[in-house]
Amino acid sequence: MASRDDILKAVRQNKPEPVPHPGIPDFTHRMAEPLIERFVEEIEKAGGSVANLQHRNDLRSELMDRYQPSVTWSAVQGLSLPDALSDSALSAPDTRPGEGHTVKNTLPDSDHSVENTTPDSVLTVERMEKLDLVVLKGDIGVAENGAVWVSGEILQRRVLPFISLNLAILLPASAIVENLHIAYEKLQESTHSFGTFICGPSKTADIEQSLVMGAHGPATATVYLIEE
Amino acid sequence: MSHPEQAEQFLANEARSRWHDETLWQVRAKRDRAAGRVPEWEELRETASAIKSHTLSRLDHYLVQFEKQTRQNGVTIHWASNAEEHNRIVHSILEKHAVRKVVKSKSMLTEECGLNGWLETHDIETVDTDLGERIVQLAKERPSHIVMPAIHKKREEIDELFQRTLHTRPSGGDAVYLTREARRHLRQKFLEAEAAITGVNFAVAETGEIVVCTNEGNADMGVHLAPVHIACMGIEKLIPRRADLGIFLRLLARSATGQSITSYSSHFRKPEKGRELHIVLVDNGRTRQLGREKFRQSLACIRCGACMNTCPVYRRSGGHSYGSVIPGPIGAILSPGMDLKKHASLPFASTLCGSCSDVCPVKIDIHEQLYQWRQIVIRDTAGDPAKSGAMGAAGQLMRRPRLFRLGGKVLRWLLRRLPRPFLYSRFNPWGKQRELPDAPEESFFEWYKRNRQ
Repeated sequence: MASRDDILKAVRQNKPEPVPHPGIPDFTHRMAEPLIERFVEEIEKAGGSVANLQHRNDLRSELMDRYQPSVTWSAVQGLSLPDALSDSALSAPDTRPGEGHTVKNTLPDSDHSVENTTPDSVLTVERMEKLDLVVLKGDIGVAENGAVWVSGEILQRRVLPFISLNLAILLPASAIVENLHIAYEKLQESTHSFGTFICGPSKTADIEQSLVMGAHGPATATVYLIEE
Repeated sequence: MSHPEQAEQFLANEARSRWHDETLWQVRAKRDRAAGRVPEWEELRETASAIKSHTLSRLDHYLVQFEKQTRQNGVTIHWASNAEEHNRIVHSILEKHAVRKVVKSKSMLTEECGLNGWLETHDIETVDTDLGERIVQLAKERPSHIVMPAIHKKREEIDELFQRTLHTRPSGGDAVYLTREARRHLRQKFLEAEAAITGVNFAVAETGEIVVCTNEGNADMGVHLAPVHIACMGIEKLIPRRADLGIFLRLLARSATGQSITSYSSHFRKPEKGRELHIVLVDNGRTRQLGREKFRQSLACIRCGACMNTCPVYRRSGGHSYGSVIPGPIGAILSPGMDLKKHASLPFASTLCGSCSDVCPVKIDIHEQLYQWRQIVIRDTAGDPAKSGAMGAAGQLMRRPRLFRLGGKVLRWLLRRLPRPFLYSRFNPWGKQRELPDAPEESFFEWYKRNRQ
């Protein structure tokens, strides 16, 4: 603790005269384009993609179209998806030993009881590590930069969005706001233990500035915008 | 070695230094396009600068508030006065958990403290997981840029390096193939790691949360898989409120790479169930810098690297030529505060063109501070005797108008008549790698006299 006191003492001795906090100016309605248009442009610029859905129940067929029926996947239950997906080949239980596991992960959200929780013994690192797809729910979309806020509270394991090969995020179109300031206003009272803004796939340009998707995590990231 | 000496080595390979220059200029151009898409860009910079000034003026208050909030969040806070204490703290946490394998995401602070070397001597495998950082780590080098650590390396060199260290096949520098191989290699490291060390981009006093930004997702992969997360931060990373993040996250990636935001901006407030989160708050010269009125604003830096990408000297001399953990213009004003003698040449590694200050997202007056450091270097160190001698002689000459005019005449005459080997000898550094200008027929003074009488 000696260092704590030393540091605080040194700060008090050396800090300048008080300067007031400037506050955050009102930056709303500065964007020229329609919010959704800009949101899509920003995600595509970041290497991600956006698909429009009439209704959240359409997600199942969308995913079936896009991915092989045999992919291993995991979805958070906050999506109200399990019904839509439960009868699909996507959720077929572990039928092909040796070929990776199908983890039908039903994560709890505030509306669901704990019974729906996949036991930790099922959601092991070994299984998560082989996931082809993780399906999540986003809370806020940010038009100016294409980022989507994903709250850690819906994730049974925080690593899920970062470990799979593909990522799908379901987002109501009405959740798109103009800029980060509005997003943080909405998050002001949030008591999340963990949360992240995700924009596009995991990527790197560390080899001579050549952009490569899928540096460590998802090589594709798709935001499914629901009109409803 | 001084900056000019090391820069000369970098410049010896002309093709590479031109490539380096052009590549970084492209990043600067991307930054301009990104900033141009934000109509309120200048207001954002003003606000960011003011928030940082406010925070520094109440840093003690915010440190205490941050400590209190993190405690409530179940986070363990540690305080380190210097690099060694920081390393000892990190090591003791790892010891307690009998950790032998650590994954790290980018942290300039741990570079500053020499953490990797410290852990290696204690037999703890420390793997940098940012691809660029892994490349320089495998090459046993140091990052040459704070955002693009391996920007000095050509793809063929990385190919050769990976063949040697990761046993990849020759690919002629195929970036996709090499990145895939690195992914496989690092995936294994993530799965084996018993602790993850990260830096911190922003720490929020109000909520006790820390924000870490990456494009690769390597910080998150490490942190969420390992049982222990240690986040290391300089005390100047604090900002007062969560709402302030909006300002800084809008500026950071746009200034750094021209992206609107990084792929991941993760907010860590509480440890995941059954896991631990430690935050190490480090001074290591920062409170001293806070006491230097002319230089304290350098503590507002958010490590975007924009000043490097725009700097004509950095682009042409490469990051390693600075011989400091943080290179470029911002490094040249931070490093003399740590060790004036060692870094005496850095404030001179600038044309004082001011481009760094113009692009700085938090409006640090970098080129003004470079100029101020020059005064201190000349006052407090021996300086360069040749330069001092020349300046003294010039002073004498300029004090005597007749002698000055005569000197000019003689020089113009000599410039026209002296043979090349004499003009471009080692006694004339101005003739190095550049042609001297044609000597004019008359001086301005003569021209003026002729035309105005």
